[in-house]
Amino acid sequence: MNMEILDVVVKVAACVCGKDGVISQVEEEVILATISSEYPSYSLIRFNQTLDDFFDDNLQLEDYLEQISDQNLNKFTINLCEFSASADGLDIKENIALHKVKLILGDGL
Amino acid sequence: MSRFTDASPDPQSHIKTLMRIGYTMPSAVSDILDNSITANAKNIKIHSLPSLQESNISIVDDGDGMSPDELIQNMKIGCKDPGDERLRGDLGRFGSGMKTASFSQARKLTVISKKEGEPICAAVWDVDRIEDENTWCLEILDENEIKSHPLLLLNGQKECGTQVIWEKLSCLNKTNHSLDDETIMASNLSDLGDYISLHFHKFMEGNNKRNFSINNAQLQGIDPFMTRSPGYQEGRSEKLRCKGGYIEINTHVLPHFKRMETNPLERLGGANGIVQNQGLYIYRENRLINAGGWLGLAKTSQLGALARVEVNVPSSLDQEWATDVKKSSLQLPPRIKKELRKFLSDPIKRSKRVYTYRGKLDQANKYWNIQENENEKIISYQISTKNDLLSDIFRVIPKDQKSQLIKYLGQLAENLPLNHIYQKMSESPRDIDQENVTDALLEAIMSRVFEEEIIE
Repeated sequence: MNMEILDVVVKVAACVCGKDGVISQVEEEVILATISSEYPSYSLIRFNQTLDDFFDDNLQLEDYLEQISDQNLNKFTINLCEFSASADGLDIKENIALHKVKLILGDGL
Repeated sequence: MSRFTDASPDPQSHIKTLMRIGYTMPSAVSDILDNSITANAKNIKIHSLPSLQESNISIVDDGDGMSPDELIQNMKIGCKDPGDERLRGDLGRFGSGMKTASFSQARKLTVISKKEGEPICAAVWDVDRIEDENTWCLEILDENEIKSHPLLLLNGQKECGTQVIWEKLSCLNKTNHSLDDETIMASNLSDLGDYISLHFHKFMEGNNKRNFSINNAQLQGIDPFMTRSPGYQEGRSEKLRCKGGYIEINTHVLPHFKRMETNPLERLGGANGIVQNQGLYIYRENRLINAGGWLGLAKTSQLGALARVEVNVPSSLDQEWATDVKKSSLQLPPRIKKELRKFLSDPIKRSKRVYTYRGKLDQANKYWNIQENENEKIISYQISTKNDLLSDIFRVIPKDQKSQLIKYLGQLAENLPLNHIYQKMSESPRDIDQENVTDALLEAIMSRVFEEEIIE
């Protein structure tokens, strides 16, 4: 698996969980655990760097979603967002963002 | 057709506005200390010794210092863009702190600085001159003037660093009947010492330790969580990832007042201070910004007095947290409020538990309990309510006699001859014989009843 596209997947999840500018520890742990169990070669260092980049980027959720063209990744991305965002309770903003991910990526499923 | 005209502020009025930005003397000095810490100073000394001339305050550090060009740049008000990203550990933000803080306390600000490989340099802002000439005229001192400056403490020949001098102090706020300068200054310096010890306590220990002193008296940090006191409880903690790092949340419960040592308790304002200062302790790059208060997230209560929630925030979040020029207040972003609410109930609940703790109850025997309260440092001996015989009696006697019996048992416990028991137990414990007291008691009661019957 192309690691760069996994970075984008992580950023999508970060976008859903970090709607207000912060990602809780539980959410972060769930993102890492979920991606590591599916893609064991995705390292912690890479994960941390991706999240740092995410906070420095000015891109919107749609901009990240556009970059995911691999149909096989769509379901995984939706699951990743769902698991991580609901890890410490799904709030209204997170729920709206999750719906957006499902709408855009779920089309082909 | 519209036109544009120069409407820049009038220096004479603008300086007066800057002088009233709302600093207190401790918060103003702290703003200067922020700069010293950012400049990697290890030793920061505050001097304000009585002199025959007017009172003054000097803050000297051994930090990186500034070159002549950097000094002139930094003497400008708003020399930095608040929107610029700051390095980790940089406590500055608006590029105005040193000037506004100084103008709030003094009408003359002199900054002397020396950077490695650069000549010593100095610049002076004098509010009187700005007002007289109605222009932002910064005075630059030459080397001879610096060396002969009567308040020079920085050894520019040998070491790097910066000295900030405040003269023509407005913080003394003298009126006709006020105390003399020295008395006011002594009181101000005492408050300043407490403020620095609390707000910079994280810089006073550990690997990155810095030394702070006032008139050569070393300041000791005040730990608002009393983490080293017996009875301290550490609670939940969490890290929230954000732009530029993490927001760290830690919860603490202080020991009960009675278990606190006198010195730390006094330094935290006594029992009243502990109650008033419950709440959120928000640190920006390890510097305490908000010392207590729940910021609308919970109610201040006597039972929650021991609850403290520590929040560490990186300076990269200044915009979101609406940090002001003084860096003495901030606003919690909505998401953080939501996250923080999750942490409040636990320390408050535990504070209540510590407060209402009545102590450990041990059963001495079937008849007596021993209650030990570590918080109140009280031991009491109480009649056991779980005695079978007593329960049986209560079951059969009428209601009015029950209350009489309770009253009697209460007084029996209160009037235990403890001093006598203690004395005899220590002097001649073998002489004490409690085995036959029941027979003696029965005999005494019987004879008393008999006597009463005869009289009737």
